[in-house]
Amino acid sequence: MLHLQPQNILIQKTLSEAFDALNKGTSLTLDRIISDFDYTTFHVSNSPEDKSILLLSIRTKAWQSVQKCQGSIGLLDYLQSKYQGCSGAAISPQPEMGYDLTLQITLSQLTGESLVQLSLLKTIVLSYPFQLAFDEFAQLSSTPVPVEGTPPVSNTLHTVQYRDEESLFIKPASDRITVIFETSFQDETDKIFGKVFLQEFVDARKRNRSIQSAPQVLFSHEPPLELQHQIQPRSDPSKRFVTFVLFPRHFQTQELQFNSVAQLILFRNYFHYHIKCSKAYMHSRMRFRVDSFIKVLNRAKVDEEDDSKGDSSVHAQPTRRTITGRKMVY
Amino acid sequence: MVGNFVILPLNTKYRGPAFPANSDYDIIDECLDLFRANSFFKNFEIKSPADRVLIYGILFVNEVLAHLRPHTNYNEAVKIATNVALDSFTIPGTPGFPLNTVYSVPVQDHNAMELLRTYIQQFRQELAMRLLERLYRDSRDHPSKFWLAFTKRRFMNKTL
Amino acid sequence: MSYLNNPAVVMDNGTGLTKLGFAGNDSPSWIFPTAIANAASSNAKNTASSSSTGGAGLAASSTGGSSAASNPYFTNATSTTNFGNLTTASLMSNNLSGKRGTEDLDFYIGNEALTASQGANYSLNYPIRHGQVENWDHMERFWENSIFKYLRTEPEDHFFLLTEPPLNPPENREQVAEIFFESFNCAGLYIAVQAVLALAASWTSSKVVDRSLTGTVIDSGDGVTHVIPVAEGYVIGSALKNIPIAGRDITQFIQSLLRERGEVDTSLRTAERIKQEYCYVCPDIVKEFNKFDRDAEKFAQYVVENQDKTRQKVVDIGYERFLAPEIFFNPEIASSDFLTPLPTVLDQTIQACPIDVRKGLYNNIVLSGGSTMFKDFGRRLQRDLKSIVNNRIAETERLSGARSTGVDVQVISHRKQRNAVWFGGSLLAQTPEFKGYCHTKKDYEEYGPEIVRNFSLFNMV
Repeated sequence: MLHLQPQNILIQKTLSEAFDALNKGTSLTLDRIISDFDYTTFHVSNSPEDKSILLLSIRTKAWQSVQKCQGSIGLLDYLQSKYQGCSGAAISPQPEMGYDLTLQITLSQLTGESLVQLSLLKTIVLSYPFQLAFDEFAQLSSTPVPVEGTPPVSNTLHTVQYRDEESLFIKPASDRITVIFETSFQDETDKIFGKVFLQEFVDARKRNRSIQSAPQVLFSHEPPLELQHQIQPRSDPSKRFVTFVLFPRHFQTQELQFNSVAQLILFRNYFHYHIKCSKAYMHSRMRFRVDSFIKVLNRAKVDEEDDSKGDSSVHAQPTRRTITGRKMVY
Repeated sequence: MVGNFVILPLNTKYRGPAFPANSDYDIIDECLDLFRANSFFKNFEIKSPADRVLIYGILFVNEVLAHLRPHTNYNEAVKIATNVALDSFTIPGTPGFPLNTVYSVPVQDHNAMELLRTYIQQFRQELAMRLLERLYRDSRDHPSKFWLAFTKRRFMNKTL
Repeated sequence: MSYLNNPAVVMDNGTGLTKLGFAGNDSPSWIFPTAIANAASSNAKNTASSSSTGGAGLAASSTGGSSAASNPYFTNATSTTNFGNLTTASLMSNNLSGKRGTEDLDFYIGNEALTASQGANYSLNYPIRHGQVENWDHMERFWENSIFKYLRTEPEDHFFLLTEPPLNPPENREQVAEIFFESFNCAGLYIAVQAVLALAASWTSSKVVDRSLTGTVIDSGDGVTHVIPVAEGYVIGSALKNIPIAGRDITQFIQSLLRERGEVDTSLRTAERIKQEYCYVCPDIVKEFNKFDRDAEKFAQYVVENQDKTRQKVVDIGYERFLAPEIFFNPEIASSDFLTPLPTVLDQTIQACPIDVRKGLYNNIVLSGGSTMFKDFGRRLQRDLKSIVNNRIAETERLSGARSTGVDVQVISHRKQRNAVWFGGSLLAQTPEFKGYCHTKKDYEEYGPEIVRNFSLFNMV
């Protein structure tokens, strides 16, 4: 089973290699590009002055929209606070050209924990709007509910445009946080598979008692109510909306918060991976079918070559075959 | 020259028909130098009569090594090697020798055969002693294991 | 079209190792065995058990009803259940039923596969044999996992550069295209011949003056060594030669030498480490033996640490330092069935090519693959080949009386040799022109898989 890890294992590997090399006394010269899902590119390079200092830069599609999210704490301050306790890492005041954010890594001070923290960079950037939503939830839920009348309503809606065509929306309320994914498919086949999968997400909870504590999932063609101010109804008929409803039990502790966020951020990738796997599975079934049909056909085949040799050698044209034994197609 | 086996000069104190060599480097040194490289080969192209002596020498080195054990010390090794060298042996070209396609000697000519026998005797003694010098260069207690490893290699797939 | 900013993915799937990475990097991001560990299919088990119960059921019913009744396992051993068993068995062999679960998702690739296969639940498979993909089902899953888990990319957002061995049949290319465009929806695809990429990788060497795609590639990996002549980007297939001597043979030769000497540790692992760390190519083995006699420092020692690092074994290293790579130049010392030295094979290969490209082929001999990494490998090869060529020229001059202008023999070693194919791919895929050479998903949908039979060549001059 594939469990995508929230951290980028390639960053983790690269950094730990650099760390080991430094300890052995042979510092690595690095200038590498590392990619991650959803238009995210990292760049690991040596600092020009000191080989034991690495620069880790990130450029991600979501950066701009994440930056626009309004909240009690700015994005940079948030990241600063996240990397404060992480030994050996510091946010560089000036991001590298062409990148959104640059971290300075002092290799000699690196610990195993900070290594993981660094390779979580993308997840941490994306967790910012979620954190804002958690904060606002806390604020809303602590406000006493008036005896009669409606509970306080928040007008905040955080939008993260993490791909060209797709965004995710986060809406805090006093008793829940709603996370909505827009999905759209480039490929017709994917659309069908996607629909089946999404329906399954909704149904699985009903059928399986053991996952009752999972967040509720809704799936619709129409933008859900939360988004109706934001999006023109049926602006793009091919778009689908997946809604996850997080209840307080999903984000009570720091740890739970992190897990929920990491899993939600990887939702689309996980979803697409499985669409691809199902297609691969279909392919292997198709190959199996073709093989068995070919076996049947081969049994029906009359040995032609001997015949043609028998009556006229003029027609016996050498058939050209490729290395796999198939005939050449002209 | 006996048949196509050439009587080459040797630097030796053993008695025999060989003339003293006029340079420091003789056929025995050559045998020892070429032994390790050649024992990997199964084919050998003979370009001159001296190569036949070389082949005999290489096969004999292998023979001596086969009698040594990893813990044989120098004094024991001298005894073993002398015995091997003085043991009765078949002359190349006579029936029973493993590589007779290479050698042809006048079996009928008694004098010539006697000369060849004594020459080979002398050659064997000298080669055995000089081989031991090389084997025990680093330590007198045991032979070099790097040399002993060649025991299992068969030059031209043959042994004496 | 924001995928234009995403780096292209370069994948070199070899028989032994797969190299994965992003274009523009100087080395692959991941190098791991091209291995996949599949969950031992419950399907096969079911078929086996159902057929055995079927057989047992038949036996039981033939011996009589009493035994069937006494054993609760056979209580239903009537002809109908027998029939039922048979139908399920035949259905299962049809690969349809029984696969209701998610077995197809349960697999590991690379090093994880090697670890997983040590348990009982997984069986290890190598989907590539002799450079060509043998099992497309496994390969498709291998790619799935390498793209999503290791490279963490959404294939829709990236262009891909894949490699293929020389003489790969066009059907295989089409299969690759089907998988990449239909399963993965990749943005664009380019399939390059490994030897051509190896040539491109040599452009980084200072010895290369003109960036031509003409030259001879010596690609030596673990299993086999290829000598591949390439003229202006096309492999001259008729002249291509294989040598059954490669990394694995060197390792085994070292192992046999260690055994003959009775070293304390003669495992393949130790032999491999010795190969990687201590071996070099010498100009002349007889002289090299004497050098060892004179200079005891030439003998080295290798310390084998066992897992808990409590005991250490010391292995002495002697002549294998130069003897092991020598099997390329004198195969006789290790094998009895293949006796032609590499320089001779190289010369024969080039002589089998059209006469007007031979000069270019002699002039640009490029090394690629891990087994060409020995120190002075290129120098020795150049010297040996040069003497073969010069002898021939002298002979022709003697016979014809005409003066020859001479042939330049040049063997090019460079620092990226080990992963030359991947590196060449990375170089090409980072150029701005690369995307123009790829076939895109749109092209594929328009024309079908046969478009990948042709790719335009890079002309980078």
